[in-house]
Amino acid sequence: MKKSEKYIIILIGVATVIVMGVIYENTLSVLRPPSAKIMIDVEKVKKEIRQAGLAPQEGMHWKELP
Amino acid sequence: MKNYRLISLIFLMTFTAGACFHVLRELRSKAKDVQRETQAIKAVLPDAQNFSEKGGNPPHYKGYQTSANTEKDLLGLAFVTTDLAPEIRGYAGPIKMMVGMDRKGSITKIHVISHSETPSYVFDLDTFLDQFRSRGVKDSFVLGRDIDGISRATISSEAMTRAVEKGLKLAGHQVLGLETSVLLLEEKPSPIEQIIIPLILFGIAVLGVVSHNTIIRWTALAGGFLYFGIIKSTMVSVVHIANICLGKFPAFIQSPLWYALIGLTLFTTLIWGMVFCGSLCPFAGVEEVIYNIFHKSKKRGLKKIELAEKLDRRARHLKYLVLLSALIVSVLLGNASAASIEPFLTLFTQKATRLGWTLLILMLFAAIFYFRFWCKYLCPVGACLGLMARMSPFKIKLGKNCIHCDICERICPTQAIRMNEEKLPVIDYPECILCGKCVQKCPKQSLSLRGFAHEKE
Repeated sequence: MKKSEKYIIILIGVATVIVMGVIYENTLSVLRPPSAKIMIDVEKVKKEIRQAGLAPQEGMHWKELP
Repeated sequence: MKNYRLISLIFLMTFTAGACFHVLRELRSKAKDVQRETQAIKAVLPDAQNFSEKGGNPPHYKGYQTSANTEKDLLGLAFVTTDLAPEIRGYAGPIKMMVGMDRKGSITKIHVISHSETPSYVFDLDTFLDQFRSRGVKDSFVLGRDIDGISRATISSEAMTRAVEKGLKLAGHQVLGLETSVLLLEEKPSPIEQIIIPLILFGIAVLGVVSHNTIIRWTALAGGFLYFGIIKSTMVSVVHIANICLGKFPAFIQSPLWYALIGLTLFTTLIWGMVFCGSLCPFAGVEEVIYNIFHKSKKRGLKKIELAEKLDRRARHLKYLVLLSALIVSVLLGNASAASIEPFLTLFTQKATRLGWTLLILMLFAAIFYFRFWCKYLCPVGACLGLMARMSPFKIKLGKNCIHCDICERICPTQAIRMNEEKLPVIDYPECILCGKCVQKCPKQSLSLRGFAHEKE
């Protein structure tokens, strides 16, 4: 098999995998609730910042509401 | 190719089974609809403690502050847009939304229950729907003036806006007894250009096919790139095939272009073969331009790369696999959005995930070295149209004075022509893009477009 043929076969293979990946991504976007927003777990972030030895204000991640 | 009969059969069976499966699922989904609506009401009236059953005219839910369920405790209403505006449809079918409104007739929140629009076109629905909050029954909802539409998703934006407006004003007037502003319900007739221009472009493409004229063919390709690609950002997609299988069609008045494009593509494919793929597809046009730039000069241009015949034939089956995968997934999900895979969408809408962008860049890179790489090995639309092209009565056919010179095999840019054991050219019609080069270059003018061809496969 020529080198150029090997490269084309690899290209075809990679492209096929990417196409299947795009179908998979589309499937996930359909199965996710349509109005879903990515939610940040604020308590988890606060805990991680405190563990790092910082107060929340120093971490500059959010403003504590009065 | 004997395989084509089997592939056609598999495709037809999948298509039919998919359509039947979808119909059965729709019939069974009514129970699930109730559950989805219940979740949606809580989202749009979060302060309500208690809800009524759906009822009344128009159908609606009532949300109450306490369990007393008296008029004093009424917080607001919620309604489903497809109940109050069933005639309003998005690009790929109805967009079902739960709209919450307070006692004064102002929108509290909108929650999308289901839709079939292409995800890459309606990426940011939440931002779009947030604009409706606090708009009331006396407000106007003109897209472009009061509401910013979603870029490149005009039909979806318009459908959602009109459905929300109609539902809000109907419910506000008939249930809450509120005065509303005038409801602009007139269907704006889409410009007639959405039918005339595709007709002209397909006419030019067919003329190019019939006359085997390269200039006319390139004129059609340029027109297709400009109109379908740049201006409308639409082309025949496997999403359309999946939507047809699922029985989801947009309203004709809202999107005549959909009907013109699909109708003309099916018509020309069944009569002449791969007219759309060969002479109109915007992405194919881009691939051809890229290839010709790098291969134009015989001295400085890149060397032509070809796969061995057996490998090439096997690799071409991949696009049927892609077509079937996209179709099956769409049917199982009941949503054609899963089939939105073409790099065309990324190129002309600039909306895609990282994988989508990677695919586009890879295909444009491959187009440098290989003529119409995406079309030949991966395009699901080409796969579907190719199966239909086999049935076309007009085909490029071999005459009697062939001198076995092999020029047609060597000149064919898609390797659709192979010499058989008797050294006669056999044309693989699902791969033939009707460029006419074989007809032009044949020294004895043995090849020509003729009707009612009977090719042995």
